[in-house]
Amino acid sequence: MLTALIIGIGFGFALEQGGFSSSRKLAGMFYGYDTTVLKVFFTAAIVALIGSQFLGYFGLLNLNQVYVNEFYVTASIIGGVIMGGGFIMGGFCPGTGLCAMSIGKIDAMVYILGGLTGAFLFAETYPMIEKMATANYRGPVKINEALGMSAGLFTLILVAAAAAMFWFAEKAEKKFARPDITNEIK
Amino acid sequence: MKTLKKYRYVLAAVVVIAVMVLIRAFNPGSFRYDAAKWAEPSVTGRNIVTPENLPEIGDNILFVMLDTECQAPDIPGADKLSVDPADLLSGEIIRKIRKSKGPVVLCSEDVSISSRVWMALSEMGIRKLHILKNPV
Amino acid sequence: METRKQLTVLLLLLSLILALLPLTANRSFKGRPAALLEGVLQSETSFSADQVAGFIVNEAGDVQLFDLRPSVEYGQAFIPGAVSVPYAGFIRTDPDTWLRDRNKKMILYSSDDTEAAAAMTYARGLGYDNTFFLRGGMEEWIKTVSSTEFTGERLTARENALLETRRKAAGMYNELRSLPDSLKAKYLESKKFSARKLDGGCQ
Repeated sequence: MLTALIIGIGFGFALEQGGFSSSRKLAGMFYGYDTTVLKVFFTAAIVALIGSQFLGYFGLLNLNQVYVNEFYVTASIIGGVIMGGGFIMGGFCPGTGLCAMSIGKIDAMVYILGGLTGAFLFAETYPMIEKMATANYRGPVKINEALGMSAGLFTLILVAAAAAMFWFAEKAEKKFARPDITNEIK
Repeated sequence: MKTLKKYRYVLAAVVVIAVMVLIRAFNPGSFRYDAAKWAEPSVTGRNIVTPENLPEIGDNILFVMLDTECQAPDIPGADKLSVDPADLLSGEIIRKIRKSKGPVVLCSEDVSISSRVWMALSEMGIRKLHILKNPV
Repeated sequence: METRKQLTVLLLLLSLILALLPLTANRSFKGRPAALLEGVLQSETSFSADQVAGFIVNEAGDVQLFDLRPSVEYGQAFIPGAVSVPYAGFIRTDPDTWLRDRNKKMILYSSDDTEAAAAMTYARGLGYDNTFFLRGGMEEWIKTVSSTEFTGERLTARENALLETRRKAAGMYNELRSLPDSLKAKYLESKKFSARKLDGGCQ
């Protein structure tokens, strides 16, 4: 529990430090003028990926005990569309919404309230949507297993892809720059 | 040279991790990575040999006799090594086992002792290990 | 910018090392080989058929038996209270699935000692020091407990107690063996071990 608290504090601190409480920064990901979200989250993902594999190799982490999300294809697509739409409309995702709410942003409070309402409605209507929500179940699949390659090779490909993506993101920022907005965000 | 100097911290970190990986992979005095892989011959039964099919496993057999009651058959070209299981990992004996040109057969009147030793040695990366089991 | 380039190069080089490693999700033995070998060769790593019979008759709550034989053999006859985990599954899957409860003595058995002793060593190598094996396996159980007979005129109190335990254990064993198939299937189903799913997922 204590570890979870400490990690949570660190996560919130890092998000706030990176400017993720600003909905304009988050929306900038979709309009192309600010790709910080992509760079930060993807860097975090590949550092965690590399770190966890080395820890597993040296016997410091039992990778079998790391939770792997269960994959429901239909639910993932529909949920992704809803979440993507909510992200661009609200300018927050659940984690950054909580982060912004903690510093007193009213739009974030309303956003979180909306999120909680959506979760409540999901639970209440679950018997009606259960079939759709559990359709096309694939189990807790890992990408490298689905692609038939080793975890290490997948990591290398992902890191190389990330580096390429960051390079394109920098190019996009120059192309779609909005000087009057981006100058306010540091 | 200038580039190397610029990236000296990066290279230092990578070299440290690479050395740790090499130690983990090749240290003869420790267990290997991936326990299930090294225990696999025991799942398929390939690690069990009876006196009748000893000739099938290869030449230059080294019998490691883990007790005095072990009935290791006389096979031409085979060596015998008597050892107390507790002394198995002493430098000289484990070196002989690793350097054996042919298969190594563990022999004991109590097959559970051979079995336990097989598992421990296999996990250290020693292949071509067998357990001699007399048919019931 | 320079820091970003250095970070990128660092991550690429580290992932290159990972790409060259044969990574799996399987665990590896811990500790020093000498310590493991010394530990598993001690007699305290096994129990006799009589001791296991005593656990069963006294309904010891801190003991769990695992049958490493193929499921077909388990279905025909098994020691009361044992759960079927064929040897291949025991080795190829994370033993944490079965051996998680550190407060219990986990006793493994197969038809003889070969697989059970190997499995015990495997489990202890992965850090499960609460694992033991039944000396002699199912063969010894049948010889000692199931086929026990009293020959002679007198018994000491100790022999009497031993015989009583064996008879009770044999009774339970034979009762389970003679169950009709439908009831046996229900009993086996209730004894099946299902891996506990991790709670998780967020965002």
